[in-house]
Amino acid sequence: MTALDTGVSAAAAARTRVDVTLRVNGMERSATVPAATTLLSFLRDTAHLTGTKEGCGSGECGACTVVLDGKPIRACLVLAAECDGAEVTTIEALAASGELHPIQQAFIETGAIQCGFCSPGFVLAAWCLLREKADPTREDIDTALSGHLCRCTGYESIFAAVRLAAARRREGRWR
Amino acid sequence: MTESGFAFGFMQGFSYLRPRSVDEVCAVLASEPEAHLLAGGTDLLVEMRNREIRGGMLVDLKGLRDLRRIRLTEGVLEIGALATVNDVMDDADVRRHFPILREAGAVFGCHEIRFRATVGGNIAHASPGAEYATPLLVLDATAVIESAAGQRTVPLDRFFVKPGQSCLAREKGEWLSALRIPVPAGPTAMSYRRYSRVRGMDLASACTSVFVAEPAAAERRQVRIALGAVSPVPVLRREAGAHLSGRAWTPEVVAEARRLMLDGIEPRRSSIRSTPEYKRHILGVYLEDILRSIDGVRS
Repeated sequence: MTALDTGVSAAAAARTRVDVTLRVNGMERSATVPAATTLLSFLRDTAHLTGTKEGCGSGECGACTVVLDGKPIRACLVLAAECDGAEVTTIEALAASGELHPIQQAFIETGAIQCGFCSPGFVLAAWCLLREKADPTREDIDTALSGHLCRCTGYESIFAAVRLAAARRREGRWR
Repeated sequence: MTESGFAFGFMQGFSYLRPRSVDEVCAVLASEPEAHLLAGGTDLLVEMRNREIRGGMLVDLKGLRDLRRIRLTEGVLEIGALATVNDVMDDADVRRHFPILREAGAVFGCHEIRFRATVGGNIAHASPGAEYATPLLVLDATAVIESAAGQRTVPLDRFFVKPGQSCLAREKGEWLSALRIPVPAGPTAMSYRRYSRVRGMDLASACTSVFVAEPAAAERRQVRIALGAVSPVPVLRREAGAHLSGRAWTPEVVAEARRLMLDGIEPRRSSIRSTPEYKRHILGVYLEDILRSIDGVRS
C-alpha cells in the first residue's frame, strides 16, 4: 500500500457525527453530535446546563469559561469531540446543594453582579485561582481575570469579591 | 436538540479524526491536503465561527501525546506541536535558558487561552504579529516539518512567507511537528517587548525581541533583533544586530542600530491598531530601553 492508500483508508475513519462522553459536574453525559460541536454548545444544548453563557463566541470575553480537567478554559474554543472522556466542571456545580458557594456569596455582597451574564465565567475563574492560591496578590487576580469582560461593574467590585472570598477562606470559614 | 439554529450554523460540514501516530497524520494529510489541523484550536475555532473555514476534515493532533513534550537533549530544546503556552511557561528548562519565552507567554491572550493555545500553532498560523515569532527568531529556532515524504527542518527566518502563510507545502501534506531551539553555551540576555492597545486579550500592535550572547563582554557580544506586526511577516533585522555585535553600545552605535532596525520597515497604514509612525517610534524606544537594561545589569 502506498502512503496515499494508507491515508485514504485512515481518512475514511473521519466522522461527521461523533460520540462524546463527558463527566460533567460528576455526572456522565453522552451524546452523538456534529463533529464541529463546541463544548459550549454541548453543555448548553445537549446537557441543558445553561449556566455557562455564550458571550462573544470567539474567546474574547470569558463568559463561557468552564473547568476542563482542572484548568479553566474557553468552552467556545474547544470542540466537544476533543474532550471525550474528560472531566468538566460548570457553574452549576458550585451551588449544587442549593446553597451559594462562598465565592458567589462574596460576589453578591460586594455588588460584583449586575446583569450577571459574565458572572459564571468570573466566578469559575476565581474558583480556579483560589484553589491554587490561598492568598492571591493583586497581580494574581489580574492574571486570572484579565481575559474576562464585564460591561456593568467596572471590575473593582469583582476584585473586591475575590479578595473577600479569599480572606474568608483563610479565616477558615470555607474550604 | 435542534441543530438548525444560529448556534449550530457554523458547525455543519465538518468531520473529525484523531490519528494515533505521526505516520497516520502524514498519511491522512497526503490524501486530504485540505484538512485542517487542530492543536489548541484557539485560532481554528474562531476561523470556523467566522466562516473563513467552511467545512472539511478536522485532524486533531491530541491523539499524539508525545507531541506535547518539551525536552532538552544534546543542547537543543524541542517544543512539541501540542505544548501549550502554559506548558512552556512552566517548563524548568525554559525558565533556565529562555526567559524570553515566558515574557511572550505572559502577554499571550489570557490565562484561559494559554491553557489551550500551543506555541506550534501560533507559529504555524503565521500571523505577522504572532507572539512567539520574534522570540523564536532571535533564538535561532528551527521548524520541524513532517510529511509522507519524511521529515525536513527549516530555519524559522525562512518559515514565514506572507500573512497567514508559511513555507509548509499543504498540497504535499506538510505540517509542523515541533520547534527546536539551540541552547546557548555562554551567558545570555534576552527580552521581548510589545505594544498593544490594552494589556489583556489583545494582539501586538508592534513587538520586538532582542537576544544577546555574551552581553558582558563587548568585544564578544552577538546580537539578534527581530520585529513583529510591522511587516507582512515577522523579520530578523540582521544588519541592526550585526551593528551591535562585538562592540560597546555607545549612544552613536545604538542610534545607528535603531536606524538600521527600522530601515525599510513600512507598517501598513490600514492597520486598525496603530499608525506606522507610532509603531516605528515605539520600536526604537523599546530597542534603546532593552539595550540599556542589559548593559546596565551586565557591565
